[in-house]
Amino acid sequence: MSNQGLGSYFKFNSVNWDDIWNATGETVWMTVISMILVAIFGIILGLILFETKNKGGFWSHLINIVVSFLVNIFRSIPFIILIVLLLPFTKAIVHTIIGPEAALPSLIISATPFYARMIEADLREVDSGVIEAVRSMGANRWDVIWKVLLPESTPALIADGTVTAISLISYTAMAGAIGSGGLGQLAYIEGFESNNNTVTLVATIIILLFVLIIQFLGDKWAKRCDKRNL
Amino acid sequence: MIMIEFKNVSKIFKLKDKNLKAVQNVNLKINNGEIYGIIGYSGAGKSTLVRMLNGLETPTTGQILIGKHNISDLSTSQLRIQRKKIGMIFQHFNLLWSRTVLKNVALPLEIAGVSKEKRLQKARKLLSLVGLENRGNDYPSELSGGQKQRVGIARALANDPKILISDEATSALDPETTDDILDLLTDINKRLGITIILITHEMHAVRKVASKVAVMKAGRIVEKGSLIDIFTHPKNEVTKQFVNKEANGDEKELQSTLDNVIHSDPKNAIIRLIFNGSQSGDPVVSSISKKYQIQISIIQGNVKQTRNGAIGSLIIQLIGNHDEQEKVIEYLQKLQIETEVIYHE
Repeated sequence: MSNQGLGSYFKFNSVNWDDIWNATGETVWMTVISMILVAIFGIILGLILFETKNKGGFWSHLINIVVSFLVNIFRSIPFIILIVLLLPFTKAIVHTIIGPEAALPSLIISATPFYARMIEADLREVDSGVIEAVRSMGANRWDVIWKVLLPESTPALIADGTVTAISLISYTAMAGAIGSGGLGQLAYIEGFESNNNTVTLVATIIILLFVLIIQFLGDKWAKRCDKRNL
Repeated sequence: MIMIEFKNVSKIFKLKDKNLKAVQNVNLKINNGEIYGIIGYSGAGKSTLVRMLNGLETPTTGQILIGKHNISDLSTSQLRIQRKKIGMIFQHFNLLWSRTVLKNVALPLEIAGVSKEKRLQKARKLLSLVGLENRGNDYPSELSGGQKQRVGIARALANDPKILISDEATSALDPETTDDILDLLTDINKRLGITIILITHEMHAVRKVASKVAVMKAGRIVEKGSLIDIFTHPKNEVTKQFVNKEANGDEKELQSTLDNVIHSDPKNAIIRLIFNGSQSGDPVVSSISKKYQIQISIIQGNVKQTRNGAIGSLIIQLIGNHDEQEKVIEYLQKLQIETEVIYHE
């Protein structure tokens, strides 16, 4: 690496802004698509974990053990290793191992268990008295899920979704190291391998802005849905 | 007509290290349109008992009949239909904070599959029944405790139930609001003819609205009967505690007053008399002082209203010689007035 001073951060004329916009677009795309799918799968898995826990019955117990085990496994594998581990799987379902599409399977498989566990905890926070009240009205399991569990945990689901989305941005950057595209890859290829510190700084600032915006919107949204302290 | 019948019902919870007998051999008949109070300290098994009515708990042994149906025989889907005929209100209201008041009240109808227009119309009607017609668009967190319980009552009535279970519904409310809610329950019972089961640890609530009472202790019903009978002739120790607490207010304060009286005047007996509406304290007291060589000092007296008339309690000291005191006590016991000798030399 050549000897560069602090001034190397501010050579903005060395930045190819088209590349930056493209990379920004890829990062946004990867984050948004994976977050939508993580939200869907996360809520399904979270509900399964919640509904099968301590409910008695052989099948509930079995499902809980299996899902719990898988969630724990995939939550424990470091993301950078998971991408590499899933390469054949990725190839099989998206037919490529480079570009933003190729990042999706590992992003989703990594973030879903993380979100599912948080959702399980959020559902447990729902007032059991309210669930009992609704059951006493003759509600079935689906009524309880749609009319009580999900609406009554919405602010927590949004807050935890925000945390998950921010982790996803960070994962998309890491996926850049093996060719997913996006700001992470730009910072790695342009910034690190070509010694362009300004690109790294710009990529950092854009990612930072995303994180701040997501956090801000997430907080606002969660607060809007929360009718507990009016 | 008998609406609900518990036949030798027991419920045993299997815990890790022991079996918890929450309800033991309960037999109880509740008539149509009655307000039946079930009183007991916490852990007495009252809530478990009524939760078996709508199948939230299943009895370990015994039968529960509602009308002609045996609850244990119902399939899951039949049970859900049966539950719609039983409304329930709770100590902590158990409203959904995520829904407006109107939509909370409409929830049971939503679950029953009633169309949106119809259920909101019904919900508005119920809200005006409980005096909250203007609060439909507010969220529960904007209401006071008493208002929340009114919403709870409106919600419980949404499916036109035949039975309303009140599970400690006034226990989280201040005394004034408690009375408002109890009045509302009485009113609903009269207007709609709904059978109400009132579970509570407060004799006050039972006294205000119930016509019959069952007293529970350690999973068993230790005493049951009409409110006036239970109040004027309590037999079981627990019943006496509840009745005395309600009749005399602060037990500790009374006890220290009595201690002072006994200390300064150890020769004279102190007795407690409990009258029901048809009897009256004054003639009895004045007749005692005419018939016997006894003077009477009143230590405490009060009158409480029940649905079926007044109940009076009087604590008096008998001043006179020992033999005369004995005669007075015998006389009172003959009069069929509940007489408790608090102190006698």
